[in-house]
Amino acid sequence: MIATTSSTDDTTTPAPGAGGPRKSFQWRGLFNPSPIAHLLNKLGLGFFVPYVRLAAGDEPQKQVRQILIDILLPGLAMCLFFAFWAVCAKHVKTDSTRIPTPAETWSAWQGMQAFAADQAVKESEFGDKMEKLAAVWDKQAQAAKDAGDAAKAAASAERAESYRSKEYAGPPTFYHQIGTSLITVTIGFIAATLIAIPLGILCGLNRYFFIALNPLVQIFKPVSPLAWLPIVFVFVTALYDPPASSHLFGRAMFISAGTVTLCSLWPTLINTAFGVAGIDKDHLNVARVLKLSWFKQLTSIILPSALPLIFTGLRLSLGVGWMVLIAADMLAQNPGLGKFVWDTFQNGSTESMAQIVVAVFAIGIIGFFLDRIMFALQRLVTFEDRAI
Amino acid sequence: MAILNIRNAGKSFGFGALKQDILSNLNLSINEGEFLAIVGPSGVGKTTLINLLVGLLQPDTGSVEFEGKPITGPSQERALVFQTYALLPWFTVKQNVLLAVSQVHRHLSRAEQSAHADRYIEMVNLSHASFKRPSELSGGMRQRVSVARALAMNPKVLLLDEPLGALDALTRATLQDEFVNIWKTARTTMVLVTNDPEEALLTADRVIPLRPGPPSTLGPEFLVPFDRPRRDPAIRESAEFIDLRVQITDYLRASMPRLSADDEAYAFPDLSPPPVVKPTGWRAKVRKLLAHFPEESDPT
Ligand SMILES: Nc1ncnc2c1ncn2[C@@H]1O[C@H](COP(=O)(O)OP(=O)(O)O)[C@@H](O)[C@H]1O
Ligand SMILES: [Mg+2]
Repeated sequence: MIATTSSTDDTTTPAPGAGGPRKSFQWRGLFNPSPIAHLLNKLGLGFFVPYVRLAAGDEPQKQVRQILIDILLPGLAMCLFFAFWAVCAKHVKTDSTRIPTPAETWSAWQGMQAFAADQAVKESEFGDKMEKLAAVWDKQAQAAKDAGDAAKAAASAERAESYRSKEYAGPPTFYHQIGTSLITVTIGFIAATLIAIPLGILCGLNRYFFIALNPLVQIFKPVSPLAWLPIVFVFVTALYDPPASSHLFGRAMFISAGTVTLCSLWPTLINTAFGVAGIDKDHLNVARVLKLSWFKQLTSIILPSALPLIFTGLRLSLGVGWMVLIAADMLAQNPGLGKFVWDTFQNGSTESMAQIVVAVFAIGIIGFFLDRIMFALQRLVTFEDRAI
Repeated sequence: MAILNIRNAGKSFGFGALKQDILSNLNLSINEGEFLAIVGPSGVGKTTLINLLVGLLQPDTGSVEFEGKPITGPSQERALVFQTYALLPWFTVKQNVLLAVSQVHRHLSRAEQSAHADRYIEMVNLSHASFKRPSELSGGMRQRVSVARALAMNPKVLLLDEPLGALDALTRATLQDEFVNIWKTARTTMVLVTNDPEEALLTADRVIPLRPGPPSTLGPEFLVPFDRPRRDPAIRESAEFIDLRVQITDYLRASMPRLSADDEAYAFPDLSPPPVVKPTGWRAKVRKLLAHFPEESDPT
């Protein structure tokens, strides 16, 4: 090839074979914190960066200052909040119940854990018992088979099987309820994603499609979950007839999930449409000059550049979905956190109020983690384009 | 033999009272194998003109022809190096080039396509950065990826839209020489659009100014008689070279809106820095306390 003059602009890159990045100064710390810090920032865990840098011995004073700020300020706010809560607990009361104190809430949480542990023990005991009964019938079946009585052997084997398949029918624990809620929101969210992303892409690509759909989107977007629920109820009842034995994937779960879908669809749809419509014009011109096929254009230009906004939409959608789910659970009597809050409230004692406060914290913390996960995904698919 | 022809072409943007003729009365014939430079200040319509040549835009009047046939849209025979580089940030250097290669050289096997891409990445001296993404590259390196992508299409015409506009002087000089070398090696027709008369004279066979309007139109051609390389002071500081540069600059300036001292008296406002207010009381105390810890500068 041609011999060009040596390049003067390669300041960011070493000559080939120079081995590793050029170092402008000698790093004297324990280890190089930059890659870990970069990863943490990318995953939305920037909170931990000062700890990593402190561990590496990188400007310890600055890191200590940052850590103190990061801990002290939220700590202060938290203390004020607990003080306010304690005051409320002392003064806000009705005839039958009152706001529980932080201590009561803590012991309610421990009670709920103990109950769950107790149920777990009972469940495994129940399982052992059924297994023992089944073993007895297995033996009889074997004996009948040896005796040549095929009919009796089959009947005994069936008995054994029926014992084995028996499920423990204790009351659901708090963890079961959390599990049910998570499954429900996942179903609803996945359904919303599968509807919203393709529709959003079509709206973003095709002006006419967007003009056609826009009024419907604008009208249905602000509708409250409580209004959707009866409609979803009719649809699910008409279309889905679950086997009586299935207590997990019952109608109530799909009514809840359907409501979540209808409410959480819109942020993803709108963000996808804007992401696709707002693609850099030069990138589209590249596609035109190269005469990329429709499919290649979609996979190599449209989707990658719309992904950050699509994930922004998904993150908003999941937030909305989780919020809506609690209300939908309450109304649809889906055995998740919403139903738990409602049933416990019907109980009316101070102890049950404490359990509700526990549920409030659980809902908040789970929602926070769901958001963090989506945030990390969003960061992972975002490519910086520091143009020029 | 002319490969590209513009005949009486014009282009306007907007509609109604806001309609503005950006380009009009364009006449140009570009010879096969030549290195042509078009010079004009920013905003005259250089990008618009090059988009007409590529086929991304259609003229409102007149016609633009490639090999005797009117241009109806972009073609892989006319590659464009975008003013903004237009690299895809989610692809590596190699993937960016491969996107073009796999599109233009469909008959090649995957391995051959990959080798083809590598060849052009090497031609612009970027083999060592093949697996980097655009955000990890300097401006000059990105520019060269963009050139490699265009060259790898093996176009009959390579159009460069202000390729060095955003780069520093040293990088510009390097890449100017590189363009000349590429032109000599690849033997394509090159059309370089630039805002710098000196750059045009250092690289091209023929320089045509785009006279500012509106509407803008192409001026007379200036033939550049010097041998290459022209960076040698013997050429670059010769009276002929300087004379050509002055002629082109004067031609462009003649039609630019004037801003001279006698047009209007400019009175500079009396600017003095705002007074410094020293913090007192508890603010000062907090500052003193915080001064024990140096301020964190956000790394992201
Ligand atoms: N798509 C467009 N719509 C309206 N005006 C445009 C469009 N493209 C360019 N222009 C106008 O045309 C003029 C020339 O633009 P351009 O060709 O980009 O100039 P240059 O590349 O020489 O800087 C500018 O005044 C710009 O505002
Ligand atoms: Mg331009």
